[in-house]
Amino acid sequence: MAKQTFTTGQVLTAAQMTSLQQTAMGGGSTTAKTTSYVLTAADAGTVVQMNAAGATTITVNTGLFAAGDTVQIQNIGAGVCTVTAGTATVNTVGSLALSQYAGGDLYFNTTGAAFLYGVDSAAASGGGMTVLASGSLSGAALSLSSISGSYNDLQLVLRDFYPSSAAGISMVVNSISDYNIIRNKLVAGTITQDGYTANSAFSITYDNNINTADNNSSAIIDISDYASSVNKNIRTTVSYTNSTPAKVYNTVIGNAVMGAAVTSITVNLSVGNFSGGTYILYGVK
Amino acid sequence: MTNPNIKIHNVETGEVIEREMTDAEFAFYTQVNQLPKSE
Repeated sequence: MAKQTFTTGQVLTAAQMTSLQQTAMGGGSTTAKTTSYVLTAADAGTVVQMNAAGATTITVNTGLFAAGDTVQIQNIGAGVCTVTAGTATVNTVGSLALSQYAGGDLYFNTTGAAFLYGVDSAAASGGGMTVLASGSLSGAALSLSSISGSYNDLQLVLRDFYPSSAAGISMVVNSISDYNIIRNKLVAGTITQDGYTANSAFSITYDNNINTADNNSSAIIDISDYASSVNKNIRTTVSYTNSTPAKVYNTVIGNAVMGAAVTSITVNLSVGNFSGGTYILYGVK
Repeated sequence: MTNPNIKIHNVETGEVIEREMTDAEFAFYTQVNQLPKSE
């Protein structure tokens, strides 16, 4: 139940006792929200549950809560809900951006300083990987934008992809069109290698002939030191079934000549649309 | 004639949209979407 001020001689009702018991067990009355919300004093001791398809925020201001107050924050919607410091300060060990089914307890250490703890989607602190984005492949291209520079490396994994027409896949970081690359492929026991190619597009598949059936194709794209101001080393490994059909294993290694941090990665089909497949972008510490 | 669709996933906000490429995006898509020149 919401925080109450009990007075001497007041009769505690059965409903209040039941609600108090529920709150003491870590639950409590839930306030459902579908749009961005600013916490009020009446939220102390309750659960604020966001359910929105798009991105939302829950803003925390100072002077509303007493030291020791708690508000449980939950996000059950598909859109990321970000706990945002308004006039109060909010700290956490992980991320204040809560993905679907993530949540945590907002504990007020003072009236103006809160900690969000018990966060399910904690970012990796060292030697680990954090899922930054995931979803289904569709359309002719996928662009992952607004990538923060908080990690050492990026890894983009494409799984079970297949196109509507025999196609290849190329990639782009930011708006860089020229890459220096070396490629090779293994098909039916035969290795084909290219020498160094400068100022090239970065096709991660050796040929533009991915089979249109679901053959469990997969690709991994690694970008080292993506947030640095030096050229970016990019390594890609792909296994797919071509239109023959035969299994193709290929690698493409190269670099992007650029002085800025990588803030977006785009993968393009050479023709047609993705008929299936998923993507996961990891930040690597 | 319509341009191909692009899915854009904003990593910071989690917002995902899919829409037709603009003409500028399609021109860049065509430019970078080719096999290496040694082919």
